[in-house]
Amino acid sequence: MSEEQEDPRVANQEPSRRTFLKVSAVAGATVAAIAAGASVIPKMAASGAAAVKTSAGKTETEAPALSSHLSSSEPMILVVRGEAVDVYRGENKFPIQDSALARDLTSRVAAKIQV
Amino acid sequence: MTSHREAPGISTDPVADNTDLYAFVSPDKPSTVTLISNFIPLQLPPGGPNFFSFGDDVLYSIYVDNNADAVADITYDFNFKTTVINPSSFLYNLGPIGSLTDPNWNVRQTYTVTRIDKSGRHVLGSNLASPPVNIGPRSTPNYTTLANAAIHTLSDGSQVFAGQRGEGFAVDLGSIFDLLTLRPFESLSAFPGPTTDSAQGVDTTVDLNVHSIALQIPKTLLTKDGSNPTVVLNQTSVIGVWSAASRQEVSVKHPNGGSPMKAGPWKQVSRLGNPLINEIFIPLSQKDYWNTQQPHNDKQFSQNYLTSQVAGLMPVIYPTALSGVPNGPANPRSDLEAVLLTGLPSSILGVFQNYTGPTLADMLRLNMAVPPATSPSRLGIINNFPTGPADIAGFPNGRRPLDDVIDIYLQVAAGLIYPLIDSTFTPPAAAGLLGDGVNEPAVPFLNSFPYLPTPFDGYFYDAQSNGAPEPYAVGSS
Repeated sequence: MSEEQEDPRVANQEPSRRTFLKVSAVAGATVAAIAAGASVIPKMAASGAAAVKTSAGKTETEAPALSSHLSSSEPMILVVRGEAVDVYRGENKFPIQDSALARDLTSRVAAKIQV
Repeated sequence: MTSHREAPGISTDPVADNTDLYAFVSPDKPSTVTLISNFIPLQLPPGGPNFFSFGDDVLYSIYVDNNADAVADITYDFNFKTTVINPSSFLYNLGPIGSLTDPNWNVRQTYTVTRIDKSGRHVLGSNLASPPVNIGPRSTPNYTTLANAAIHTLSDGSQVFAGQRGEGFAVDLGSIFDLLTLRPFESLSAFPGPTTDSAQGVDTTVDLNVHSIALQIPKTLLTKDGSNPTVVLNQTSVIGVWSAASRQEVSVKHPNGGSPMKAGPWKQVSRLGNPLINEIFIPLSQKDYWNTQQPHNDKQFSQNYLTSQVAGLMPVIYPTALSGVPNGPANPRSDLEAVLLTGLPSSILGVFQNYTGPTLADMLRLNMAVPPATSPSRLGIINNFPTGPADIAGFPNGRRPLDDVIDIYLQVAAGLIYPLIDSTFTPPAAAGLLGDGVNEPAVPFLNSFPYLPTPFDGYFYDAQSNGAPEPYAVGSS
């Protein structure tokens, strides 16, 4: 299990800004949920709960490479928060710390929907 | 209640709400252990047309620690799938349901059981049928037959049942949540109100149902070395058990009412080991957080045991009867810590132990070498404490459906067993008398797996009856 601990004092706080913008899908397969400044999903990720369940829930193994999932028909959900992009597909989560990617995604989405 | 709607978050998510957990040596098959985890609390039997069911989007798990480190060595995962035969109909059933393959049964649920242990993941059974809910004499006329057909034998020889059951946890909720009033002692309450001192409490859950996941497992599949536990004082005879429900991290609602899109790893949203922990030990500010945590991290909550809110309230609510309840820095509740977070070492009772080492962890601890009691006591180990005889096959040695955990908790919280850690302490005289006046459910438990009663049906449900005799189909499954 993950040893990460979430601060209980903030566990129930609502995100300061929850602006989920659902944007265009690519062939019905890709949906990006851009949460500019949202905190709820990353906060959940930081909890000490069961994450990727493997051997008797004892250890959290790394998710397989995203590339092995690109051909999946399952939808992919992106959450952009600050300089981080979290990619969700199937039962996996791929955290990406890339400020340039985060900025690029945000600006491209903003341009599409004219925010 | 033991863990029904016990935290703000899970109270809005009943499908994932873990309500009661039982772990006991099967009385009719003592070479096996039965584990039962209940979900979906306070089900009103007539609750159609969309009757209660497990969540297809919830991962239900039962965990077993067999080497005393409070980390799961064995996990049983349960995944459900709902199938609607005729989506053009609004009905759950189109006629009497005579069997688990009856074409009249429109909304069905099947499930997969997976065991995860050191040797890997093993699918023990798939496409296993849950029974329908108990609707009434026209829809489910032979309910016991349907329920029996839904007991499946898994590939490792274990048995499994997943479906609706009658609530086996009997408690006077209305009184307890009215400022911790106990009807038998209400004239002693510091708060004004009725003073009838009725010896009989009101069984609030008498006509309600839950959904149960039950396993009956050979003991040899639970010990760390595959041995059959026979020596009570051996550590290897003890297992720690807890259960949980998890949801995927991300859910996006479908714009047109279709199934939500789910993605990401499973995140625990509900857990349960010993009864009443999150309910009465954990403060509101930490309850949702507690539900996300693993037992081996429970040291962070230990202060809530050493200084118990319930123990602190007792002398406030019952100042004449319970003024001497131990609590706080002067009398830290190490007894509660031992019973609930480490298990009892053999040095306490001599003939019994369910100690799992110094790691503070909320787990039901079952010593599998203790045989089933021939005359079980609802008060388990504290039966007639200190003279006994103690029923060491009962709570807190695991938990049987018949164990009256409300009365046990009340008496222990009042300091009944505190002399075990401080021989100079004398408990309040009332400690051993406390109770809510509800000693057992109105409907008896079954004598065999899955033990919990046949669910109450909607047709005969009478909201005003409160336990009056009715022609429920209770028979033995």
